[in-house]
Amino acid sequence: MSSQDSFERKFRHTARGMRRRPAPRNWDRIESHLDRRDRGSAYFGIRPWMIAAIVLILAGYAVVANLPSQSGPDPLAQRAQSVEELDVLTVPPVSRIPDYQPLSDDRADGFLVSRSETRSRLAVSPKYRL
Amino acid sequence: MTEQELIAGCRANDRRAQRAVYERYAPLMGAIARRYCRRDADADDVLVSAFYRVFDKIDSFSENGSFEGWIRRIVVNESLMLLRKKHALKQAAELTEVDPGSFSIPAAAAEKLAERDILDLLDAMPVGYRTVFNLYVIEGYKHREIADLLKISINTSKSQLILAKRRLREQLEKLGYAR
Repeated sequence: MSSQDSFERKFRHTARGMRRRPAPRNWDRIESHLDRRDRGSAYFGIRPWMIAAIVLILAGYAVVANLPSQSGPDPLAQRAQSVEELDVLTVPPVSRIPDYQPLSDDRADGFLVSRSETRSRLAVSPKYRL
Repeated sequence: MTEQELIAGCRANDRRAQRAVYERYAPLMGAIARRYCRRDADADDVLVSAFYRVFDKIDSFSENGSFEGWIRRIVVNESLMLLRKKHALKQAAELTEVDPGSFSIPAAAAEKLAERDILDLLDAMPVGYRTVFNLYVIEGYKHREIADLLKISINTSKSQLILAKRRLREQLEKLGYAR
């Protein structure tokens, strides 16, 4: 208790004896607060802070799960991929030259093709022959 | 109902016991809230939030202490919270030189004071003076405790009290009580 002079003691005594009639609606307001609290705890004991905590946990999980995609592909993986692509683009596809098969002289269509004519299959059409 | 039965009823969330506690202590606690808050509506807000807290935190009440004292502390804390929310408790200047004669008040002046006069005198003070005066003179807190509660220095608390008393003396002289 603080040290007080006689004025303070008397002032304190009078002040502490004061009473004030509360407004009639005050109890209704208190009761509605209590009802709201009871309703809030009635849902399986779930409180607003619990909901907030669950939302935070889910949000944190979502952020962590999305981290790799947000940071982009691994540069090493990208390089390997581009080298493969480079190979595909720069090296022409291997086209095999078909084996040469000489035409025979006695073909059914009557074309006369020399055996020595190895580079071309062109032949004079019969109507232009002399 | 005895006080023990009321407390047990409140712990069981019995609405009748809670109402009985409210009706028993509301007039006293309402007067305390009104000493801190100038507006009646603010005092009512403090009363509502304080009693809600009383019923919500009833399990933390220790049976060894005074139930009325516990409720009173909650009402004072709620009053300070409201003042803080309204930015009414601002840092005040400290006094360097103090003349005790400038704020001492004759004890006879208090004997003539009616309750209404006390409320008018408190209302006439700035919020900072009134809060420290309430806490020190009426609630009986020490300056160290007031400094902790209001987050001010001990010297500021002392200065506020001196200024409050000086203002009180001036008011009493105007009313003809301090002669």
